[in-house]
Amino acid sequence: MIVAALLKSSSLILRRSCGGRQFGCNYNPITTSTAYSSFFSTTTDSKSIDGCMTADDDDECEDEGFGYVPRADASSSTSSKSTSNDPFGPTDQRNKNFSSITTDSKSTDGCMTADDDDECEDEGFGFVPRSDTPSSTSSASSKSKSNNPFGPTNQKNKHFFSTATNSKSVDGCMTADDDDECEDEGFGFVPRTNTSSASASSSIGTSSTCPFGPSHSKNKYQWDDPLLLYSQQLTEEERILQSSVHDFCRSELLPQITKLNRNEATGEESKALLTQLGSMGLLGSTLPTKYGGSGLGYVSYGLIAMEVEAIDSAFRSSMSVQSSLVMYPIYKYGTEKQREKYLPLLATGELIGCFGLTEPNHGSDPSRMETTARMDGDHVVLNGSKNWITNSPIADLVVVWAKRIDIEGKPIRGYLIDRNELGAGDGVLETPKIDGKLSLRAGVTGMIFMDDVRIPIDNEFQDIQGLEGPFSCLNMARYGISWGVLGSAQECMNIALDYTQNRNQFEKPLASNQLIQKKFSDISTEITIAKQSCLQVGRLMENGMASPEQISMIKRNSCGKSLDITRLCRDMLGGNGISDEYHVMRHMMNLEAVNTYEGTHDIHSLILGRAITGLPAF
Amino acid sequence: MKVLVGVKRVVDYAVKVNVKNGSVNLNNVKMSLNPFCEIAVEEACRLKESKAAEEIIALSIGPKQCTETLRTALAMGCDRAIHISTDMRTDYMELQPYAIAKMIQKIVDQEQPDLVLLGKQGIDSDCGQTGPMLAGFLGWPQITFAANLTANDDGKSITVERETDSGTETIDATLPAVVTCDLRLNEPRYATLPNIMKAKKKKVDTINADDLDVDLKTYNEVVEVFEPIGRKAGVSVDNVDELLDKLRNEAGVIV
Repeated sequence: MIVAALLKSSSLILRRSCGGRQFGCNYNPITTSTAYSSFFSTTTDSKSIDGCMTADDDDECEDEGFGYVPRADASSSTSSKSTSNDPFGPTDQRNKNFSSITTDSKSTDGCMTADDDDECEDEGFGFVPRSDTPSSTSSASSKSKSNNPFGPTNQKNKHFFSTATNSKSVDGCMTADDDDECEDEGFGFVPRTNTSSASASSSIGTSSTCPFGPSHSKNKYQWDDPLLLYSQQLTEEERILQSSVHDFCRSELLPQITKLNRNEATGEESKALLTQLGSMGLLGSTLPTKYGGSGLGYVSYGLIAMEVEAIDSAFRSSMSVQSSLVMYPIYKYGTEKQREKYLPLLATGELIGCFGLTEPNHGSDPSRMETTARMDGDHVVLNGSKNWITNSPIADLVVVWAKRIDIEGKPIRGYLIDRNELGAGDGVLETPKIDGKLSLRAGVTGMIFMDDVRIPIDNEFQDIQGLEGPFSCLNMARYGISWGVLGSAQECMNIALDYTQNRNQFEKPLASNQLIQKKFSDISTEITIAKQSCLQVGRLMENGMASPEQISMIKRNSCGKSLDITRLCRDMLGGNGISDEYHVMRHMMNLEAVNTYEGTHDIHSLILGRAITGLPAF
Repeated sequence: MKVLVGVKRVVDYAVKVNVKNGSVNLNNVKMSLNPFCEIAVEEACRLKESKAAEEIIALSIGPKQCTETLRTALAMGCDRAIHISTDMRTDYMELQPYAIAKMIQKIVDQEQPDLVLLGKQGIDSDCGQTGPMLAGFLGWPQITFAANLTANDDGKSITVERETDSGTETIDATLPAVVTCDLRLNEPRYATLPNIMKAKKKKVDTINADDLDVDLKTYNEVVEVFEPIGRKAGVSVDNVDELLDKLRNEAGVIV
């Protein structure tokens, strides 16, 4: 009893410090909150205190969660949960990685110095297509040059990569002294017992012992999908979705963007865009079909964001706001009546919403917001202003967050303002457009001014209090952004690659220069690795195992790296790089905003820093 | 009417293929729905929307990944799909139009469609033979390179405009018939996300190619596959004499 009491009190102490040890705040089994069970799967219980910025926020922190909704499985969603719990995709696909037959890669890596020239002559890396394998289907022209620095094909290669024998590899040997141990050295190539469901390729034997593919058919490095995300790590549904959205974006959105960006989009143009996105089913896509969504998984959502942002970040911002910051809170915190009334129309883009959290004087510290909510009979009266609100000038619905003046602890509440229902005596709601933006010009951004705006009390979200509300929405949006910016970065890389391969200076293509190649290596590596991290978080979310700090990590990483990537790409385009016809600088400008909104790069650093060290540094 | 649409899973048009071991390397290469088949699917969906057709069946031959291609067709609006499963290559290396047409004939016998819509050719093999061969086997009228298709009010015939080098030809045909679709027939719709998700519920039947009782032998042997030789850069000449000299002696096009 005493022990239990002590434990309980210690947990309370840890909680109050609100920046307490990871274990205290996040994994304390004693202090569960009912709020969490609605957000997290029943197996995990992570209380995140990201909503709290300082010790003063204790009260809001109390039951801080991040509103991770384990996906409300629509009746149609069989695949996303059932495909696998393995974040790397179902087993039979993973196997395929090892047993696939692909091509040789001629690499000059074999030569280290000019002295190696002789061995290097017919340079390969020892990935020689074997001409003498009985199982090879095709006959004729397979070359059997021995390029292997380790020896000619029919000798040493056999030791490495034969499918028939266990591989004797000398790689295990580090020095001549190891020779004895080397004798029957395997390389740890576990023969995979491929089921019949494995690779469609006809010729290759069933047990592959080689991580790089069998010797006569080495895997070819896919520079545009290095870790085989598209070919191996996505479900069929995700591939189809991505392909379809990709085509749509290229054909329908890309032709508009230069003009929209150059002349700053008008309200009408932004409305038209949302209608277009709605017609494709891109708005609120993760929500159940009952409300106009498509019941998509989180990885699908990420892929869509990536495709849209490859065109322009303003388009994806509009999509994120509508989906994650307007439809999501109405779905999560609104009444059934509100859901049925608004969600289908928001899904088609007939109604447009915006999300009002940031204020002119409170950006990174929303807990100190000045917008107030005062109860007045069966109405709520809102006063205050919000800044940098995407789509506010054209919004029919405003999801705004304000402090209840009559409540002490956790005063922040969410409100739904239906502009079309505001009458003469309902105060003044103004949403002027912000002009002169140099970022996200293809979208419309504005302020929100509320002067005694009266809304029915039903329009206060009842099921959520404190910053948990807005943060739960922001986390959804941040996740989409983590994928999205990688689409922008990839697009810039593709443009820069095409440019440097075709532009000649000093009688050779720019792409043949070392400094350019280094840039591409860095860019490709960062994008590839970032995509993997986003994929992993997406899978964790689909399995109800995510936490907000993961999202902070990927948002911060993806945005920071992508911004740097676009700058490098802009540089590679030289003078042409400053023209909007080459797109790259437009992406660069956009990413300045994207790196900043939804939690600046530095704020996410502090969120992660607190999680790592246990000490808040806000 | 009942419509059977062929959809082929081919290398994506944007991929730069390379030749490996005497054939095009298909490993981990992006595959997608053959563009001409996509046009055929779109035409079938339009026939359904205009109430000329009540049921559309999509058919594909190939490995298990064909279900992805079929799902795209289902997402565009087909009602159900049939997958003839085989690991043989469908890019002419192993399965060739003769065998493919034979297999489709079996499905036609089974399903009894009024109209078979196919793409005019696969962008991998570029044969353009499957449609005409199938029509031959079935003894049905064939209209190839369709640029416009109208189902006539009598419900028993179609009017098709086809593109030829000398102009447009208009053909009336009684059903059942085989039509192959060309580029200008229509602009295929995007599979919207809700439709892609709905397509997961639509039925896909799988039949093994070996169970169809069709001779799948490769009658034409592919001797060699190679990339086309790169085009040489042009040269400028200084005067007409030099031009004539080059034409006569190098190019050999005048005597």
